[in-house]
Amino acid sequence: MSSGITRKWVLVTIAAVVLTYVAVGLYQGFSITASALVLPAIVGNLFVVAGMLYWIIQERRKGVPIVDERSQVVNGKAAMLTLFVGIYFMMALTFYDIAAQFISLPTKNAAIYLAVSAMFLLSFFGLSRWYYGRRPTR
Amino acid sequence: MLVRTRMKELRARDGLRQADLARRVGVRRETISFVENGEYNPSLLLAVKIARVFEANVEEVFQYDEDELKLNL
Repeated sequence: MSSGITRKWVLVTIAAVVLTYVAVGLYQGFSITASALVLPAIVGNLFVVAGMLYWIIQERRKGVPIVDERSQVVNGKAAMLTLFVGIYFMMALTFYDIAAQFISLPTKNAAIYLAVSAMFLLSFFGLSRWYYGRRPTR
Repeated sequence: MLVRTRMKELRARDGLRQADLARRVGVRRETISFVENGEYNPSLLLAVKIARVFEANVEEVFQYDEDELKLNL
């Protein structure tokens, strides 16, 4: 993969993600203030994604495997932890939704819940992957 | 129980860096580092590959305490 093509695809991916966020934001009727608050989070995520893509490309060029047997063990541990936290998170949201039908609680639409859950779980997986990656693997 | 290894000593003997060994056996350098420090038990396949690089038997490279190897009668 040449660096020109790689750079092009990284830019296309970033542009596609930004446009998707903007389209969804407009569709949901976000205010300018809300968009301004969301923007740093989006930019942060994009930097993380771009950094990961760059790292993967560099490792491939060196001929180093991205995932080996120990990485698979670590990924598995992090994924299991994320699964349990995700189930807990979903149950908490479900109970909140049930409770909101009986008592007055502030509610948001499902798109917000989904976006927050996805970002939270992805960040949690990344953190737990980093944590297990630095510990002895038994 | 984590295994003890003579990898560091054998690498020094053969003048290999962790990255060289990792490349030859097809794993990440970090994995070699964890195996060397007794923080990760390699799979049987990886252990055999590492032993082959050093032209040694698996038991010459990786060692357990004799107590761990006792068999049930």
